[in-house]
Amino acid sequence: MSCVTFNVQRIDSGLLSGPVKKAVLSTPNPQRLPSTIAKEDEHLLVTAAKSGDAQAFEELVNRYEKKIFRLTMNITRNREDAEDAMQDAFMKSYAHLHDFQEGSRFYTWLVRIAANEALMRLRKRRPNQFSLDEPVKGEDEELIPRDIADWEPSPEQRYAQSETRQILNEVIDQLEPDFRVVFVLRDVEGLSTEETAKTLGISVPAVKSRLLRARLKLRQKLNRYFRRGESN
Amino acid sequence: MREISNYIDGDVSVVLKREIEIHFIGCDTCKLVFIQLKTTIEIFSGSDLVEFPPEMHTRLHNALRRKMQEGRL
Repeated sequence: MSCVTFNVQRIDSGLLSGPVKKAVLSTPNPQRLPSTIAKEDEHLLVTAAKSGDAQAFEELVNRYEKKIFRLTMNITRNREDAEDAMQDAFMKSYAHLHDFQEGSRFYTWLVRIAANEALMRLRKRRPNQFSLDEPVKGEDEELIPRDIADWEPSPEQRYAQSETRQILNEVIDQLEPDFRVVFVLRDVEGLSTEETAKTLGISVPAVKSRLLRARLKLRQKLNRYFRRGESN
Repeated sequence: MREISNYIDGDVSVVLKREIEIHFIGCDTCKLVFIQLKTTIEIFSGSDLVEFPPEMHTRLHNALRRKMQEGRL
């Protein structure tokens, strides 16, 4: 069955592997690497930044600023809050670099800081509408998908890029924040279920439950645009 | 639905994985839902939903440098 053999694509920052990585790691003074090599390896950049190399930290910022802004924007859905959250996330990550355990992935650590900054702003703006502490409301009947219909092959290609972007933004805007943040961390940013739970301070079953509902709701909303033969 | 979602995440036992795959062969509805859930995830994870304008890059780097120079970090 070909439909069950492909895997969900995850975002990959493209760290080096093979001979180039070996060359980087065998260099005696990693803090003074040629920039072309230093750009290639996150761990060396982090080590250099920890030792006070501001340029190395700026290189990390260059590498991840777009992704971090996408994350904070997807959580807050407010441009001003998203930019503030992104700036504070980078500043806090720099200030707390000494706390970063180098055995783990810098980007994942950064995502957790940025997600917390964004969540803080979301809670301020929607104090009565957003709570991850409450159990998921709704019956199991809600989990039964409605309007099952074939979609066009490569449905997003049916629309111009700007139009697709508008559709996706509309659809994700309509998703309740407590479902949206789980979907963004797990499916868009590629955090594991456990990392998502830890970041949000909720249990693994709570992540799975919200993720399932988020996926079903988004599918349902996209159905309107992507079903075969429909034109909107 | 829970099983399909867990199956997408590779979070099912070998036995359940096999059962789901056999079920897909005989159930077009579940297979379609599975494909559409996967497509939904791929569309959102692969799309640049958010623009990152150059002036935002400049503001971020200026703010960082200012803080670094002030020694507040």
